[in-house]
Amino acid sequence: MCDKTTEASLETQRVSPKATVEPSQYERKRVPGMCIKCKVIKPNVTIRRSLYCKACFVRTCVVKFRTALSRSRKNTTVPRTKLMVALSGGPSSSAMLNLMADFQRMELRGTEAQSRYEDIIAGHVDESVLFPDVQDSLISEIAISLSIECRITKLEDVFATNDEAPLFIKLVQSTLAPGALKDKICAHLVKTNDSISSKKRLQSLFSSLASATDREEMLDIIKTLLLIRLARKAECGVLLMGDSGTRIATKIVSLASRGRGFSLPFEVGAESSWFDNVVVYRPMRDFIMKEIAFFNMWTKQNSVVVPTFTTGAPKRASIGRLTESFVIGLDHDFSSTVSTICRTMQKLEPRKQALNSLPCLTCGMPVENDAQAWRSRLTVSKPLAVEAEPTIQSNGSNDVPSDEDGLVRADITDVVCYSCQNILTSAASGTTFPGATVDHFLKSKGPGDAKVDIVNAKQEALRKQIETFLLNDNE
Amino acid sequence: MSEAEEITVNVEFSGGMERLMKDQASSIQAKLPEPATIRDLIIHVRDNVVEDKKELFSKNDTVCPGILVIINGSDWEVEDSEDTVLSNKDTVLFISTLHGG
Repeated sequence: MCDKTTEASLETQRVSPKATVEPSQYERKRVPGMCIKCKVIKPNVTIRRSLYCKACFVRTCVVKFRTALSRSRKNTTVPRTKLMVALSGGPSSSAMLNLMADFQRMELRGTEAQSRYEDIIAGHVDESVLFPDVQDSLISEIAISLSIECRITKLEDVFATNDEAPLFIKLVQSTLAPGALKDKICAHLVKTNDSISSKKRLQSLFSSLASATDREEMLDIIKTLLLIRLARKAECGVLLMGDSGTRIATKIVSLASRGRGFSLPFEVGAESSWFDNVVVYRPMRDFIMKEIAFFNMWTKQNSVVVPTFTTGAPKRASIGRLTESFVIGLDHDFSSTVSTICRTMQKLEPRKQALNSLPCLTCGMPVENDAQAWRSRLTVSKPLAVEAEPTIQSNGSNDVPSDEDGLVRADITDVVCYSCQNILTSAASGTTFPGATVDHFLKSKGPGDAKVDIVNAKQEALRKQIETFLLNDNE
Repeated sequence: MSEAEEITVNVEFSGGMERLMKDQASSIQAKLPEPATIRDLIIHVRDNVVEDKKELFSKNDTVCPGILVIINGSDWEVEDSEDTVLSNKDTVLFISTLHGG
């Protein structure tokens, strides 16, 4: 056999890898029909064409979580702090809480008997105002069963009157037209009117949004906002979000198609330091939903079904729903679709410009300059009622107080990101939106100016104003 | 094989799957003529147990992508997926992984 060392024989050997051929490393590692890890037990699950038995699978999940968490830790500089686990109660966040509790136990059992995290707290946003079917007692039970404290904030708290959220955005008028000169979103920045309960305000916000896509996006924005606040309040320097790989892949596609590409690295990245004082990690990013489902089943981890606006709705109900079925459908036929999308995304880095951008008034994510220029390049257009209203001018100096509450209309177009502009434009005027960074803006205008209800949105104008303030103070 | 022979399979639904079923049942017992495969069970559930929105449960005589099928605690893909032959008193669990997280 060895005499004929022609190219042809090598070729045939390659085609038929029989006993004569040394098995490749890949093949040597596997025992056909047995678990890929222990090689002696019959497998119970297949993940991306690899077979695992129950015990090896659970162990692999634990290790995978720890690796992801340590990698995120390495990439960011965070002092020893408390850690908050965002808990929606769904399978992914419940599994994450379980894995985090296990991580903490292991750390405490170690030689140093001191964990890298002072304490683990679960943070939950109660959505019962929109989805009354969810049993929130079950969610706090998930935390209790793992001996973890659970802090709960209600969705309507985003409209609560406290120091953190003093002002809201009340939409006055919005006209966005491709190529138009007068793309404007004008709003009052108002203090809450106590006569309306925050619950009602939230419900009316969601009912005035134009589409399921907008509602889903708004819900995401509010939840993130509340979780960040909750983490800050609990003095947690790290917030864990339970986005699975499947979810991240879906989010990448849907965020990009909604015009959130600019802030995408912050919204789905493995770690994000965009928010002040709180670093966000996504340690479940390497898990696909199938792994999470099996992990929960075999570790007897309870979870609840978290409904969304499009649960049980047809595929085309919203962009989020459509991309989900698209990504999952693709992954069904090509089992590495999800990981390919995620790995491609991991190569994305936020542009320098994004890191220095101002945060969006509504969602708190970076605002891309010239969102209007983008829009003016769009070709889709519809005629708008463009009756010029003299009070709405881009220049702050032309702002005229409206008759209501003596407030001043402000042009906020340039401090709202492209995607939020879309939401605001299609919403009914008079709708009140929670402001992620309104207070931030007012603070930047200088102390002693707390009563200022005007924000002139032109960034340059704003900067000039701050300069003026500083000069005045020095003088 | 006599035509009268039937097997009983315990069927469970979770992860939101139960909302699609009649009376939002989270578990049922299905009687199928022997020999029966998972495909037969899926067709049985689709035609007799799913309330409406059958397209969210099944497509082309198999489950929609995103729905896991677990037979006696093991992934069906470890066996023969739709062609796995069911035995009497098997437990089959359908989990929806859509909208999780």
